[in-house]
Amino acid sequence: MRALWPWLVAALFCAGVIHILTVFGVPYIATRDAWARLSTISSENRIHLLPVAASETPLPFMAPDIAYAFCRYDLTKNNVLVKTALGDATWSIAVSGRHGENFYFITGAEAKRRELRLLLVPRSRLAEEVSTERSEEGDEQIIVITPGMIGLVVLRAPIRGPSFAADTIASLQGAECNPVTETLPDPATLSEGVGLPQQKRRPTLLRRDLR
Amino acid sequence: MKNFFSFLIFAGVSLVLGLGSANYLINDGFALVVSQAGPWKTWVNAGGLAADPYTRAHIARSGQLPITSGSGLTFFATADSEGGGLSSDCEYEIIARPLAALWWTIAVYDENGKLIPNKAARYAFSSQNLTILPDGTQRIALASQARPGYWLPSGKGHDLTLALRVIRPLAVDQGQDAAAANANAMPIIRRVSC
Repeated sequence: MRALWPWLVAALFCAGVIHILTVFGVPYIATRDAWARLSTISSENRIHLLPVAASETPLPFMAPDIAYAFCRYDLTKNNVLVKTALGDATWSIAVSGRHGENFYFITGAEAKRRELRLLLVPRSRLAEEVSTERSEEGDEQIIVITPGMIGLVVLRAPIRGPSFAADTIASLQGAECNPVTETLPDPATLSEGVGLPQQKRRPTLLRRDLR
Repeated sequence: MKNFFSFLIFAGVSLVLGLGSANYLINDGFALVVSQAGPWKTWVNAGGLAADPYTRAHIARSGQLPITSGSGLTFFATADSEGGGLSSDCEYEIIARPLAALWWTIAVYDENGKLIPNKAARYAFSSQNLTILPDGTQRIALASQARPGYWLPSGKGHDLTLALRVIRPLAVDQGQDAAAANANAMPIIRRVSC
């Protein structure tokens, strides 16, 4: 029995190491985290609306009285501009990284404007690019600096009651999430058709029978 | 042979203790990462940039998408205020007082985090559609059969989970404190009958 003690002490030490490795490793090996679940039903840099109070939802414990829209952003090539009207004070926009770390959040109550425009710029590209970009509507946009290149923007629109659901969803459908491809055109190369705004991309309404 | 036997014990104890303790703490948390107020539990660091590794692992494995605790809190309850497990075989009364928040909502789910289908298509009540009674409370009946007032259908044969979402808790600015400050204000889940 005495010969077992060193093995047991070593086992306790090894268990501690396994515990720490497991806890730190789970976010990187989890195959069913929010990003992975949403990746299967969405394309990048595009707004998708999730069905409200559906029996099958892509994420567990989704609020049945909130209309959700999300955009999986990828800033590798371009910055991304998110535009949405804010229905009322309780609407909110959250910007998160790949593993759900939420670094920006604003509600309608704080925005104090009817439409919100967020320009997502990766920290690594901040200095060189933001100053050369502008949107057609003017300069009143919020620049959100992202720590990484990919992540999620989630719009949450609380529904006051069943009779308000259609209106809330309709308002949410006006949201946009587009890569910013326009830069200031060089006057020397300006000709007809150059610099025209891209055609608007409408959000996709996901079907109720999500797997 | 003796060394082989010792090694088996070493490997078994290492794996069971290491993986078992990690699994338990990632699922259920502990006092430093989970705040409890009555039957309501919340992962106070969920969604934050500086979230602890247990919270990160819990969020990744559960598939949820939280917002930072300073901006929003989600409390879960799987038991009533007396500690009995929530079941659709029983009837409960949820007694809430208006919370200091921009908006809050209470929803009921089955054991898998899914909504419970019902003919009334009623799954949640929020601060926007609950009226305040003369005694200052807001009351919801959680029952499988229809009840007068605000009835939240619980179906049949389910273990239930209640989720209380609070957007922009106004009392204090950070999660741990907000949870503590709201401890006395959290809704009571009273078992009426079984």
